[in-house]
Amino acid sequence: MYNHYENDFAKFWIDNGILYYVYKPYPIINLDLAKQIVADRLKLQGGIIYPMFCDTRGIINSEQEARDYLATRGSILCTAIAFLVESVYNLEMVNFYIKTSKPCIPAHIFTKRQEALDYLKDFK
Amino acid sequence: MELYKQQARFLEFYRHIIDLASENYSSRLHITGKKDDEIETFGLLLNMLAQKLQSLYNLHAPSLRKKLPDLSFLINEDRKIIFTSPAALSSIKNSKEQLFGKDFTTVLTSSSQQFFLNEMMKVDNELFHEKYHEIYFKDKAGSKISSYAFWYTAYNKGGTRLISIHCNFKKTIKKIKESTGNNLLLKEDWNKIRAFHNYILNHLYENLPSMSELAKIAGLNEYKLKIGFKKLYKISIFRFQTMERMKHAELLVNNTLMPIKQIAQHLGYSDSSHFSTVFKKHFGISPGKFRKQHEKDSP
Repeated sequence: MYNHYENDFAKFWIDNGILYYVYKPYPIINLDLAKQIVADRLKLQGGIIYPMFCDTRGIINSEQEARDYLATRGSILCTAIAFLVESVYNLEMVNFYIKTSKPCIPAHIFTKRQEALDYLKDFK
Repeated sequence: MELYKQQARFLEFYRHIIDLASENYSSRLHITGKKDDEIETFGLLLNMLAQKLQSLYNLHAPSLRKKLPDLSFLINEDRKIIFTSPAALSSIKNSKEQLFGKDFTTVLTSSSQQFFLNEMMKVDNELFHEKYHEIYFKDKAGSKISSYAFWYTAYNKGGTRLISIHCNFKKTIKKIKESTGNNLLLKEDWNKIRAFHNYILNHLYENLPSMSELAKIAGLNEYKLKIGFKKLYKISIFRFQTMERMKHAELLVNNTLMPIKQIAQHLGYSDSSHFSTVFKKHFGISPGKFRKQHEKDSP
């Protein structure tokens, strides 16, 4: 079983009981990509549940179907998710996603990496 | 040059907002992904809003069509009729000249005139007044048309208040009531059903309680919850939960090496053979064979 994986649009790994997911700069996340994101993540996790640290700074745009898919299927084998954002653009995109697509697990936005990781400790 | 660019951008945003208000939910702004640009961020949010509206419209369009009003009027602050739907015109008067510019209350019966005036005074501070009121119109022959009406306030470019009045004939309401069993679902009911849909997704792995308990959770009566959920999502509540669980099951069977028993427990099935039965019913094949097939088909 591998503990890290990388493809064209993301890299992800498991470290100290947390799943790290970092989006690379990519024009748009559509439904096909969203499905691949979830499938690859599940393969990496090997049936174990983790809280997720999600670095969204590389996301430029996304489609509604992709967001809806990630809000439901993206929560499988995941206890909580902490989103790392950087710019106002990034922040408002993720905020819109949380408020309208309503992910099925606790989800919070952070601008500081360490605060995000501290939040996830309670969900290990 | 910078000012010109800003004005062009503003006009693009304006056009997009008008498109959305005109139910053209496929309208999109061009986004470059410039992250330190607040206008760009606003444009992104408008696009995401358009996508959400489009997906909601596609989900509910058949129900919306059924709920189109029989008569519609647009009146100004002085209660003068400035626009009507063709159906309203043909039902009430013979020509536009007989209706446009006239006080709206002149098309109502005397009992409804006073009622309408009283209700309009209450509307002064409201933008949206969705509560069905029974009012009576006088048709061309002087007979009574009985209807239920609700109205909205809007403001035109000059800031003048306009009131949009929509009416359904009593027989239309009767038909809707008959199909929903005297439980006409209002806007707040649909919102509760949508919230309940999210509740199911957030408690997907828990066994659902009885309908009466679910109704309490949703804040609706059992009938409204059952019928409303089916109308909105085209599936019953229990089948919806099963379907969503099976979507999760498919992902876990295909993308993990979790034993089937563990997957069943994770999804809230106390009995793994029951899970396998449900899985087979949904996919036509047992979870074990499904996994083998997927392994064979994968590159």
